[in-house]
Amino acid sequence: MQNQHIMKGKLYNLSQVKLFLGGDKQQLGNMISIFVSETPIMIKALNDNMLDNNYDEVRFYAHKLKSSIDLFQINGLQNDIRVLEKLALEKGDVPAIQQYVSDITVTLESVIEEIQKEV
Amino acid sequence: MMESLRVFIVEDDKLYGEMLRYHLALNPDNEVLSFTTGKECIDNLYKDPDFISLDYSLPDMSGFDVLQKIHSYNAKLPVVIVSGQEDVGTAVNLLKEGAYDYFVKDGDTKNRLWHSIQKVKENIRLKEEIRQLKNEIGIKYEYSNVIKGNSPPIIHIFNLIEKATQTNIVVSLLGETGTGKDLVAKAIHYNSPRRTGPFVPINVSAIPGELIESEFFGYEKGAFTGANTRKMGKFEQANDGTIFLDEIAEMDINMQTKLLRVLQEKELTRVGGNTIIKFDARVIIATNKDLSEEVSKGNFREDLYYRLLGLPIELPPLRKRGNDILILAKFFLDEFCNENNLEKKSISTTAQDRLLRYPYPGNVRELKAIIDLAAVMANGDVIESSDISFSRTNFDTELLNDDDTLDGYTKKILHHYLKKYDRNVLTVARKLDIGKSTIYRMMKESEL
Repeated sequence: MQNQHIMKGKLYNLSQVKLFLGGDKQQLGNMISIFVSETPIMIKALNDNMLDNNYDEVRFYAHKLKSSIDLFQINGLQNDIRVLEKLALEKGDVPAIQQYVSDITVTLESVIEEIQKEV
Repeated sequence: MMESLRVFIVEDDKLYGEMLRYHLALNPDNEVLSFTTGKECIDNLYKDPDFISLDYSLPDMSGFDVLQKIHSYNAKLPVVIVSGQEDVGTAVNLLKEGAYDYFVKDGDTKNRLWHSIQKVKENIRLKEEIRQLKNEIGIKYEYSNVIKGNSPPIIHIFNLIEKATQTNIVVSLLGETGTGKDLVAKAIHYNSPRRTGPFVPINVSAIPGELIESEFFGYEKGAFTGANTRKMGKFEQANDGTIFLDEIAEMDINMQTKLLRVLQEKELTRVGGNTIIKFDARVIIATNKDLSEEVSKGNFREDLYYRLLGLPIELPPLRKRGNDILILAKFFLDEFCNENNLEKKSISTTAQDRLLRYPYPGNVRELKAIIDLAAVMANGDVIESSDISFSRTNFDTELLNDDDTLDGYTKKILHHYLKKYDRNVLTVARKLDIGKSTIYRMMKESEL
């Protein structure tokens, strides 16, 4: 899973979002600021719902995190977040769900930290 | 020019919503408003958006419920569902519910949304163009623009048209050929509350008997050889508008039975189909025959006759419209000169007298043809009597229409025959069954 990715340098890639914004630095700052403020709220919701065994909500937040992860091309999570969404829908393999939530949380927190430093 | 397009983005993922907002706002014609919940979107519908991009997965309501609420507010509002789910079943259900389109969130979503908005803009522009054209048609078909004249018979027709426009009563337009029945039918439609609906004319005599049912009521795919696709009939096309059945007396008796049933039930079945289709079309019919006489002869069903009689409007023949002939002649002359970039012309007094004396068996249509030809033949800016040619088949009627003496008529007859046979006296004498010396004498006396 993504623990390996954490060790491999930069966790995200802003090239796609920069390309999309066509060099609009102000808007880039705005998008990063939204990512930094909104992602922790979703991570918390993801974890809270997992602790409550509310897998429908786990699936909902995994689904919501997907587009941010794709946009910031977060290394390794683009596949993991989809696996988590599927597992939460099936509600079968709880230990795997817990592991994915934990790993995704760690990676996203690292990304937030890194991206804040870069900006 | 089109005003700006108001776009709602309903997306609880603020980052993704901001990305869409930014992209769509790059076009300054788009006014983009963002909302993060279904409730917020619904509460703001009073702002009359032109387009909504709706996330399927919202925290407070499902995209399906939001879509239903949006469409209960405005069923025609284009709503594109944007979803992270690649579930075909969900997409199909949403499209059935009336979603304009369904996009899965990926790198290309913003471009697809952009194109959807462009399509919506184009639709709005086309609708506006259609509305303007309909207004223009409405003005074109105002009574006074359609029917020229102020004679008592035509004033009476104006009154009847006005009555016809106020209800959905069937109107039967009667009158000789060329009296303008088709124009009156259009005037009734475009001055009635149905003016925004279609006006569908059908010339019954122009449709072969074996095709008339499918033309009227449409057909299903495979109904007969060559029916490769389903086709809507004229009655369905006229829904919310007017259907104009011209030359109704020419309709086959079997078809009359089917038409009667359709008019009574206000529903039809396409050829080869079983589905009953309701329709709501105003019916106007026209004929130059005496329908009651056709009923007596057994050519027209009596029950259909009474069903179609409704408000009868009998258009007067031109010969009974007095000075309207000159009003129309002037109108046609101006129109012809304008269309052909000719200098404006007038009609001399003698030419006017001549026009007033002619009986016009072809009515207004014939007058127009006479004036068009006269405008071409005239050498200057005045139409002279000699520029006016009536059709040869009407020579006798024209001749008798003049109040003349017997001697005068004799001269005219001789003149006509001499002209017709290139002044060949022998032939003229034989045709008129008189001696050639009589012809010579008459020619001398009449200075012909």
